Amino acid sequence: MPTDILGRKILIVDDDELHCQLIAIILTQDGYKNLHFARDGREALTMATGLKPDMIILDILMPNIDGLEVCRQLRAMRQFKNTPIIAHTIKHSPDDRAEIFDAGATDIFPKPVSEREVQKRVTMHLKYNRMMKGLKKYHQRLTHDLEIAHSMQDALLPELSQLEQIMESHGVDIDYQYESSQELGGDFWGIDTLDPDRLYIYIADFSGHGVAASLNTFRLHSLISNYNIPNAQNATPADYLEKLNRDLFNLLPVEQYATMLCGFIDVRQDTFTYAAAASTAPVKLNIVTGEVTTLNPVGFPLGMIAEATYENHTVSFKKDELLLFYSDVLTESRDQQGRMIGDDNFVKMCHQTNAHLCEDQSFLSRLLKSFDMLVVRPLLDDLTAVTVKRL
Amino acid sequence: MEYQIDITKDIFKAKLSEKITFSDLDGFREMVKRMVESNSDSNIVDLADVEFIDSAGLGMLLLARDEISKVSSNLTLKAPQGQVLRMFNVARFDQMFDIVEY
Repeated sequence: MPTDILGRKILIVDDDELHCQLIAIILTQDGYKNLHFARDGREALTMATGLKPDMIILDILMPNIDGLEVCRQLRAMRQFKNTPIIAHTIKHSPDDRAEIFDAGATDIFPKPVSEREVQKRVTMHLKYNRMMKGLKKYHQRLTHDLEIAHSMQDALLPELSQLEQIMESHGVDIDYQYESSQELGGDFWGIDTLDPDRLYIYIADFSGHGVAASLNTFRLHSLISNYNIPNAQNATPADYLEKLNRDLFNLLPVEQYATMLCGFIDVRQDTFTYAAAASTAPVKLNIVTGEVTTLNPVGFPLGMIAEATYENHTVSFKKDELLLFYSDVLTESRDQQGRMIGDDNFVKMCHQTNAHLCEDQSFLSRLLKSFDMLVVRPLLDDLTAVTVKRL
Repeated sequence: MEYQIDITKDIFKAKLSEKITFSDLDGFREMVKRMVESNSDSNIVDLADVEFIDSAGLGMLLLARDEISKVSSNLTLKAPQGQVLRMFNVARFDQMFDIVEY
């Protein structure tokens, strides 16, 4: 038996000296060596708080404070919430047992004791308790790590001050929502100034979720940051995707990849030029006429094949028009009946949202409100949605 | 994800059904392992009854393609429907896989 188990502090409480000795002999034979004794309930409570035993073996019929009351009082204390408390008693009819368990006991040893049973059960409870403590500790550490990872991922997203600056300089309105799922996801987006007329915008999502997807978003983000986009005036969105694809292909294992869309918004030419790598299909909406167009998301996902080429597409992007970029959770989530929203319904939702939009109301928050009414939470993946509106 | 395997005359067929998602990774790897171990000349993954595939699911198909190419065998994806077919089109899977409609 592991020595740490044999060294655990066991408090044996019984007003009968002989019973205390009997249990002690049984446990000593098995190798337990850290045994302590209390003669009644009051002494048990006083000793327990100082001693902090790992297990308490408790007689029920005792003068002053009986075992049931001791059990209740111990359970009310935070430090004994999960300590194994074993009732050692002559009273073990079904009703007595129910009362003992109600008081918070973990287990019951009926008197007279069976030597082997006491040994086996004490060991089992101590091992179980050790396992629970280990799991709890592991769980706490993991939760803490995930929280840190979440906040690090949040830091990849554009800062409000940067967005305000871009809105001012390029005459656009930018709205965005990011909601991370309970698990780590692989979503992120970004926007940057190319020159006084043009903005560079991208949205990316790594395959799968969890730690691997999250780590990969950092890879992709640093690749994008290293390209130094504002200094490469002649490159097109397709050129960026081709370069990113080559770099990611060399970094990633075969089953991991990213989907992405990147494009240039030109406020002088009134155009949006983009290239897609199997992203979701961005929606272009004219907020005055209500006309909705979906853009072309077709393209090799990043990191799947070595020499992928991508296509540039150009659409007009004028005053009163809005572009919506979003992660697939918006189209792949399911409603109460278990049906997936799907691309077609999503486009309909965009159309209806615009039709019922009051003045000064944000299209994005209204759209996400309709989405919230439809879907079952919690969401299974990150939610990212960005709108850019020409003013 | 559920799957049924049928091996006849050097053809390994796996008929998948329901959804292929992130949580099916272990089951899918197991299927790929059996595919490789069968040493068949050709391998067919029938997707007719698969109603949904997510990004991790597409990754698993890439994994299968990779494992099969290592043993110089062939992999065919059969009859993708609905959302699965749309995902294949968006990601240009027709350029990376041998896909038959039925």
